[in-house]
Amino acid sequence: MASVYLLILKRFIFFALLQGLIFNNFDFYDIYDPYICLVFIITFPIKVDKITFMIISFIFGFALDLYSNSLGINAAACLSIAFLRSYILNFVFGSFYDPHGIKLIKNYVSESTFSQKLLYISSIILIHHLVLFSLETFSFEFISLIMFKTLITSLISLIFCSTFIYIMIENEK
Amino acid sequence: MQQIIDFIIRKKDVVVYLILLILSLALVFNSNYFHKSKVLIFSNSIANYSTENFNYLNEYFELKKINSNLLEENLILKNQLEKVNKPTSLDSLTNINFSYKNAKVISNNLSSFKNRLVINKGIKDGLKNEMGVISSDGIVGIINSTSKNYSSIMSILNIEMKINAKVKRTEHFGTLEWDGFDTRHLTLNDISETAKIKVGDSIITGGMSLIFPEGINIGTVSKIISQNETHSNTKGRAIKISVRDDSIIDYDIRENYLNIEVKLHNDMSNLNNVYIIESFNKKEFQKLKK
Repeated sequence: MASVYLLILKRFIFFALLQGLIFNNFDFYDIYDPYICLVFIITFPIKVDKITFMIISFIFGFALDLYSNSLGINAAACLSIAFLRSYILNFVFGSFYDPHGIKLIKNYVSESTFSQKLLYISSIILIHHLVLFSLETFSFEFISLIMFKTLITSLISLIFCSTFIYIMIENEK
Repeated sequence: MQQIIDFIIRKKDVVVYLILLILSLALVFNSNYFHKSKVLIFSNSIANYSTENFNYLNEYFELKKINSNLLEENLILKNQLEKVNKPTSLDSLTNINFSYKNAKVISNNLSSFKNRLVINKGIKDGLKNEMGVISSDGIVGIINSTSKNYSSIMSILNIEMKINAKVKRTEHFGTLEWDGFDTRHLTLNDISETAKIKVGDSIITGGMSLIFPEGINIGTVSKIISQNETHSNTKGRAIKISVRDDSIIDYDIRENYLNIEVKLHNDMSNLNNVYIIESFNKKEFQKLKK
């Protein structure tokens, strides 16, 4: 169990710095940044219990907040997907999903169909971005703005995150 | 009582989620006052410290560009010095309304709806809230919180930002706002349709607020959209009827405002050196305004 927490700590520092120092300044068409930090939550070990997972995600979001000069927005978004992840896994993988975490997350990614992978990753990214952008503006006045930006940013994040996960799994083999 | 405790234990995931969510929302709502909390200043300065060190690396790649910018700016300043040396006005009071300090941008993002910048000077260097920030090409934003060594700036690319500006040629006043997407353009609202504004006119700061001195370049007019056109797309008939009725015509003219798209002079994505404007007469001016 201790080695799992060491792995989490390593990934925590790696993804917080990667997002904060490099991908926050990515500026695709000036205003769209890919949120590659979501790989941390997508590939978080399942055998860690849910409350610990939520607290770690909250701290992770808070670390991202410090780099983007906002407070609590990233924390709330990361916390929400940490809370919803078990439901999403259950919905997407059905009977293949076991909540006790005997299977590793890489089993889920390698032993499922393409549409399942796509649905899992894209639903986490969409929910994260929707919470993030609506908390950022916090008014119904900009609802079309939020929807448009959520869609475009999700598309970019999806490309980056899935590439990154693919590289991670290839390296582990 | 036992049942309530049982319920909480069964639903402990949801309870922890709600507690943490309330905590993060409290942070969002109080973020304007975060400089008051010492813990946050401490943790924020750690993040800023690592960003600053990482920027040293990035700066090497941009040295050439920075050098040419500095040369250009030197030239402009020298030209201005020539003008200053000749006494232009006898009223010495108006000349010391504002003083300038320089600072360096250490973090800058464009991707959010409420963009902020961080610069490497703070309370120690005499910076306070609500000071204006400009670059060599145009305006950048307003300081909205300061810590000991760093201050954060509300950028003009922020959907809550409203800046008083005017058209240089015709002296019409309006409000500058950002639409949330295009980082090269702002919109100038509240200018009446009777103003004869052309594409290419320069837009400068208005000087109504004393945060920015009057006459700093912001950009040029790139597109003029009259609100009549946008109305006629949606409810063209309603307008035709109201024009026929003589009593409403007067009202209609007052309602017609132009939406002017302004192209910014400065590129917000590669800001390096900025200047902070300190205004001396601000307190006196605010007192008078009340």
